[in-house]
Amino acid sequence: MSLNQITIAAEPVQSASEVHLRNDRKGHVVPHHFETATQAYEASKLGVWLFLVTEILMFGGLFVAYIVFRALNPQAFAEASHHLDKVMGAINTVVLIASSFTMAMAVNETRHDRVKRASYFLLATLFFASVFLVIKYFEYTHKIHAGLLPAGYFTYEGLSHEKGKLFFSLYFLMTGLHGSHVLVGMGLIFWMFLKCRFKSLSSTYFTPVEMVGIFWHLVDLIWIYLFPLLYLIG
Amino acid sequence: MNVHHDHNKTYLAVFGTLLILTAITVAVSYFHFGVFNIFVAMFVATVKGSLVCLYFMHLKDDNRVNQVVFISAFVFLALFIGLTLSDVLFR
Repeated sequence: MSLNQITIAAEPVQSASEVHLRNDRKGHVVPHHFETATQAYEASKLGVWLFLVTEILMFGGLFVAYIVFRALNPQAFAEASHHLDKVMGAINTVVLIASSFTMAMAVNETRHDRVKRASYFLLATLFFASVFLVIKYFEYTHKIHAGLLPAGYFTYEGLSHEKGKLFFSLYFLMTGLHGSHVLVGMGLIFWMFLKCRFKSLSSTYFTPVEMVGIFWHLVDLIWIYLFPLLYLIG
Repeated sequence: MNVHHDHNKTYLAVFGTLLILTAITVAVSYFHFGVFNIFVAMFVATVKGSLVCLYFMHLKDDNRVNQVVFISAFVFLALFIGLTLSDVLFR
């Protein structure tokens, strides 16, 4: 890791002006409880990875529910899955992969001090995320009108297997939780866009955009598994 | 990891590979091989997921602690799935 290390001197910080020794040229201050900027960066990153572990285990509960119910009702799940639109799911997969790519590019551009280009890549990421949600909106609308709703709200009568409605409970829970992550991610990406516009990120301080990037890639990673499990099992 | 190294080409290659793998997994779903389908789908998803983790999330060049922390999530997930299924399927 060859980040510009902003080391503090051994003598204690005495005045406000000395605090600026720990600032980079864009005004970011390394928090006082860290020895160096690199240490602060590594600590943030470890925190994000730990957060992702909790995220995977949270989604894990739903994946386990899916695996158990599917193992018990294979035909019902296969039949219910045919009511999802494979093409829409595939388009959303491509859209989310594209958003992951533009996000990775945004982080890379920030690391090379090209924050203006980074802000354009963040806008592109926001665009792809919006397309994802718009397609999701059309899918949800179709299912709501057909009565393919979770648990007690299920009114569709064209399924031959009674347990097929379990599939739609899981479908809405899994894609709903994932969709809320997309929304949160979009908020964070917009925040990073503002940070790039106001030039508060640079090659010496890019921690926030990299952390948001790691989170956004997790959202992509979860969809990579949701797509085949929900749409492609017929 | 060298900060001055540009990753653009790597990202483009990973992006292309992910698109090809998506096309493969969708194409395979139109053929019915029975149980084999789910194994192909999960294998392709795992290859795609690994590419995202290793290159987009920079896990390949990250320090060992972060790698172990992230992989531990999947170890615990495997325990969660394995122990639950050992109950549900054999009771």
